[in-house]
Amino acid sequence: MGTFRGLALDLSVPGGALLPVLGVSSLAVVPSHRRRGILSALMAHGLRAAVARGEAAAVLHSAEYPVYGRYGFAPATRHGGFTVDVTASGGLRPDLDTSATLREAAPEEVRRFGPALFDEARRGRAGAVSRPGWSWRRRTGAALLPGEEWEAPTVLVHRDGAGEVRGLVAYTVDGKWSDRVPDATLTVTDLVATTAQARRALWAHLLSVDWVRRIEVPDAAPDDPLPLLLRDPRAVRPLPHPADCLWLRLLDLPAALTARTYPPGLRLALRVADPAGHVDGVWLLRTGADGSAEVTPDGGPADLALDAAALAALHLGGEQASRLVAAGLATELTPGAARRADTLFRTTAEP
Amino acid sequence: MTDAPPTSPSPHPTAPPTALTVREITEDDLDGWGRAYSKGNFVPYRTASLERRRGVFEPGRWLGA
Ligand SMILES: CC(C)(COP(=O)(O)OP(=O)(O)OC[C@H]1O[C@@H](n2cnc3c(N)ncnc32)[C@H](O)[C@@H]1OP(=O)(O)O)[C@@H](O)C(=O)NCCC(=O)NCCS
Repeated sequence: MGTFRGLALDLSVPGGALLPVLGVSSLAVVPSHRRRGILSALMAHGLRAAVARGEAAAVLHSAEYPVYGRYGFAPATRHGGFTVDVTASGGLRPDLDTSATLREAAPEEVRRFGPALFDEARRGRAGAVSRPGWSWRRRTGAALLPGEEWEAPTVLVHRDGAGEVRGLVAYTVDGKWSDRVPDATLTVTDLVATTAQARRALWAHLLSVDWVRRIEVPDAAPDDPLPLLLRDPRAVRPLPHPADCLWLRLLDLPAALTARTYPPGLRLALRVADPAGHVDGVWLLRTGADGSAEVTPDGGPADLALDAAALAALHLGGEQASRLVAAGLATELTPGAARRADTLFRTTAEP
Repeated sequence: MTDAPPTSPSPHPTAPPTALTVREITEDDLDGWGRAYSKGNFVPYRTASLERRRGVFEPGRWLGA
């Protein structure tokens, strides 16, 4: 009557570490048996099993916003997909050096170097989930879902002076015409770059593809630098996605909190409410000079009270404690605690 | 981050509570599991999915209720 599939994944956290997490997918309950607690029972079982396996957190993509907060999940990253009006953009800024040779890559090549390139890129950006081997096979047409039609994307690769792969872009073009003139949309299905030079070279190519009037990038970080690379950043508009992207649930609080880095020399005691018990209690977080943290259960008074979901929202740096306090989702127990938590959890790059 | 109330009332307000078991499924359960998944997501069930699911099945990680 109900289904749940758990995936063994890992999640990049601020500082570049990869945290083992449970990926929750394939949740469904047959329509005749809904609202009887089947999802709640599956989730409770699935999260307990993850704890037993040593997974420090769980992640999912939520079809509907109101469902998963009750299980301690909260949105921890935001969608940043956008569309570029190529003509209005004026192309890349003329002062940028975009000289580079891009080369087309065959699917088997992508399967060979893609995973390492992606892992290197996501160490610089928290909130990116690992891509298992089957995910690369699906992206490269080697494994399709039943009934799925494969439209092979164009894949171009950027290498640095030493011949190392530093970037990859995969895209399709719809070849549409309107009023007897080309009016095509180019859709970026993957863009991975580990250097600014690679990113610029890939964009220089995308903006020069014949017939293309519009470029859609469904998956991008909310602070993607592309607008600032263009002559006219107004040519970039956000796609009408829901803002929330990856939902996170912390399961092993010391393991999750110590996996990431923080500004040095800070101290904050958190009182976390978690009816499921996984992260319930008062926890003292102290950060060392090297940005690492020590997290210990604490009997003393707390600075900030919040529930498991609110803490998950803060964990990757995509949410601010002071905003949660303003919304009644966290409570300051000592003056200035929210500001301190903002300093602690915020990151330079948005997750 | 707080629990919002459900947006729609229960479609089965008078349904009697039934005993509920959640368990890790085995490869033999994959066909029934796939059918429940398809029904729950309003997508047609394709028999070809079974082979694909066998290929990615991880005992202990797939649950059914
Ligand atoms: C979403 C879904 C899995 C919920 O399953 P379910 O067994 O009916 O859920 P439960 O009975 O365990 O409900 C748990 C709680 O969530 C609430 N809830 C369930 N579905 C909800 C919805 N769509 N919107 C808001 N609240 C919802 C219930 O009211 C209940 O609240 P309570 O704990 O306060 O009593 C099921 O409706 C479904 O299969 N939907 C279609 C497929 C889908 O959306 N899958 C999830 C993809 S991320």
